[in-house]
Amino acid sequence: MTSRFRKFLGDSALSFPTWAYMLFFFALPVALVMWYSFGFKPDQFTTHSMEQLSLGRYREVVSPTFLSVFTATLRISIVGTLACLVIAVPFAYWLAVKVPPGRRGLLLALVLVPFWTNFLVRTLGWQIILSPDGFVSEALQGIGLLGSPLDILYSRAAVQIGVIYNYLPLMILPLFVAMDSAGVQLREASADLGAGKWRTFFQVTLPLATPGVISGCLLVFIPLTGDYITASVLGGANGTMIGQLVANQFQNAQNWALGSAMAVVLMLFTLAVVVITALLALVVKAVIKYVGRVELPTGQHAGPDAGTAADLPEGSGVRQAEPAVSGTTTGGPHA
Amino acid sequence: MPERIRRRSLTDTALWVWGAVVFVFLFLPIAVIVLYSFNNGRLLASFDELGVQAYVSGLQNDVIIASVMTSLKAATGTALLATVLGTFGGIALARATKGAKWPVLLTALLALTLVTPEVVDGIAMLPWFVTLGVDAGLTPFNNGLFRLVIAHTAFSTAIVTFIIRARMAGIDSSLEEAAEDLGATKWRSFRDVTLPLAGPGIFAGALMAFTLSLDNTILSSFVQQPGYTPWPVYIFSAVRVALRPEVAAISTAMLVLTLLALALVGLVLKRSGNSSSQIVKTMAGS
Amino acid sequence: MAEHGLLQPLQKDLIPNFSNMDPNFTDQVWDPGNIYTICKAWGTTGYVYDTYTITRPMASWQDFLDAAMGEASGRTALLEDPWEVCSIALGAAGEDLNTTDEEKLDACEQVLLDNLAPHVRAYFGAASTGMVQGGLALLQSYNGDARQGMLEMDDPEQWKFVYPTPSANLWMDNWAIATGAPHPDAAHALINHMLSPEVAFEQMDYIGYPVGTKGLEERAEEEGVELPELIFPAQDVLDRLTPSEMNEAQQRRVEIFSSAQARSGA
Repeated sequence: MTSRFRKFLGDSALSFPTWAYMLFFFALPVALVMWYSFGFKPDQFTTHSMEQLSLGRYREVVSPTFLSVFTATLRISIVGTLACLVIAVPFAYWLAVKVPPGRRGLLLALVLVPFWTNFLVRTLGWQIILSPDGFVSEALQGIGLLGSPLDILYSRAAVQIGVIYNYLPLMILPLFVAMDSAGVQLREASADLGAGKWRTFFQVTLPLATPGVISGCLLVFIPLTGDYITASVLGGANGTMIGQLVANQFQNAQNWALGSAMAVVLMLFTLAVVVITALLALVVKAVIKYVGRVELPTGQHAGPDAGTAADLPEGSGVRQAEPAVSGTTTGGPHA
Repeated sequence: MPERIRRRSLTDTALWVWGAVVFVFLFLPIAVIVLYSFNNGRLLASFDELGVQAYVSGLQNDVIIASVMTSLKAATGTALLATVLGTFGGIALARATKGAKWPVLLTALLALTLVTPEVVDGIAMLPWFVTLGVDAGLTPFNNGLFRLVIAHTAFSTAIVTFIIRARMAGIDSSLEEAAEDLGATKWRSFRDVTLPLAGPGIFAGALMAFTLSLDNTILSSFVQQPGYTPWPVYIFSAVRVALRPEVAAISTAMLVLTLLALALVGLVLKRSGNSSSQIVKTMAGS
Repeated sequence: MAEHGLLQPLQKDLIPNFSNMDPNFTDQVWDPGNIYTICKAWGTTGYVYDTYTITRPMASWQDFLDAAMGEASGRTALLEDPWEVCSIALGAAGEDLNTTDEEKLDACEQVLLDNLAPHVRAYFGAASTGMVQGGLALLQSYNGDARQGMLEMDDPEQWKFVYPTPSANLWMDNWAIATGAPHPDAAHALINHMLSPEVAFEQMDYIGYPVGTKGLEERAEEEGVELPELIFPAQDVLDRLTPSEMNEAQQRRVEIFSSAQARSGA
């Protein structure tokens, strides 16, 4: 009976191909990079040598150049993530609550359309829009809104616009799913109990959307920190991101040892951000449970939902409350 | 009371305006690219005269066509491989015995692939492929297409797995149990019950893997081999040389084809009884 | 690459059109006798400037530095290439562009970081796009790209290209056949085809760089190709160019380049 069946499928046997693949084509090569980071570059024709192991490359990583690029990258990715959040929260709320249910599918599909246009091509679109001699600049000057040509391209502002644009859908999706899952019933219940619209939004909808907020922020922050293409197309000299420095070591300098050390630092940093976010999320959840408690008939609170980096395999309250929607497991592109 | 109603509708209006503004923002650069694909000039950024010259020369450019084909092949391969791996992984995770340790480990490993910056994947795979292909003599690893599929699968599998796990977690295992009780073998119950149940998730996962592979630039630029330059890498190298309108033309053509394909898929799914909102949510991996 | 056995020797009897090659572009230091490679396209590096912004005469790399720090501050773009960027400061100082001398490279770094980098707006692979987009006044550029950009301009008087003194890169893209290539015959046939006078001319017209065959310049003149002086530098320019080498100082150059980029973005 059931236990026999569970024993078969619940057994890890079925996951062996996945295990094998991920270990062989992800864990092993990444481990190799970590190993290389302790080596050195002996001469111009050799990318690395492991004859002498040292932490020397890590000392080289912590150079003023690396640190200043690192700070700039961090600033761009934090501002970018927050801006995406600010843009996406009202938008996702609108899509999940205000738009008639029959239209939601179509509109959500439209949000995804940029995904299906190559992200470099989209970025090139921005390059044309922001050009000082481009049609937007000329139109703005024509109607007297600008006294001189638009001066945004190849500046930090251009990079910021570009990354916000490229990663916005990754924020909208999990937020929409979370707000949608939060359920009309809960909101109605809250309103029935006399809570105002804003109060309902801040005390019911938003807390229930917390898992979506967290997965959205991670989905935007992680690839954004590693992206250097958007920035190099739009930012010019202001668009040097940390990923570019790593790539330079491999593609120009042919110094795998130093490049590996940089990559390890970048990876550990990203991981640290994820762990901190996860911890923060736990705290926020606890606080919400404590302070923001609204007496609702169902009494369900959304747990961190399955699927994103931050969380664990166990399910969530949302799923129990509304079995039809299976939570915020958004595996967004890693563009 | 009347005041309150007016305030509400004001918020509503603001939300509708915001929704429209965001859509304009999302489509602005795409519209520009579509418009500039009808530029007959030599350089993409300088609009010369209206025409379809870029489409003609783009379709006749062997290098462009070859790179688009490489991308499509790599994306198809990735979708197949990642879906197989992700389906096994996702079902196994969703049906894991409570309290077992391996699901936590597997989830952590897969999550790690998601938090690894792409450039790290790239620099990790390049030496690994060289080691396997040149040093160990496993010749397939010297094939550009093979490399792309392997590399893209490595980062798509996690997403497919999570999508399928979410789908299966939302479905009671009682159906499979019932099949077993009725005397079906484990394999038959897996094939005839579990797989069809996971169907929408598998489909969404495959689509996601395909999209991710098609769009991948950074990782591909590291592992690519001469003769197997995928389309995004071609564009990226073209940015460094000089962008011709052909890039916009081919991109526009690909966008139109993708939209048609998606509309078709949506239609088929709709006929099979899913609501449109549900379909998109499935695709988004929810 | 040849040293590592990655290339196979070319069979010249399969490439009869090799006889069309201009001796300026055969028999180079990296491949004496063209055993492994044949020039596919060649060009040089210089800079292009907006004559309305920069009105003084420009001729050398020193002029480039002065203008970048003066009239064109914040409107200057460099090439996205470590060797090329270093060649500006080394050229201005009159040093060998391929130098491996540490002191000279230190001096080069200082000039680039402290003087030039803060005034630089962007680093491009190709200057033509930057010219078309507007907003820039001084761009380090390959000759053919500058020509492409100038051909797009409504006002041909606006931009001027300089083959800077004392020297600049003479670069060549080469044909070569990888060891173990599946169809060496077809590869040889392709190279031969590309070197035929007719195809070489078409190629040049499309990419904006000469292929390295003889008689192209005369042909270009006959056909009335625009701005031929930006495709074919004069012999005295050719004579002073320095082919870039990938030497042991490449790592140092990448370091200088990365620091310069970081400084420009700061």
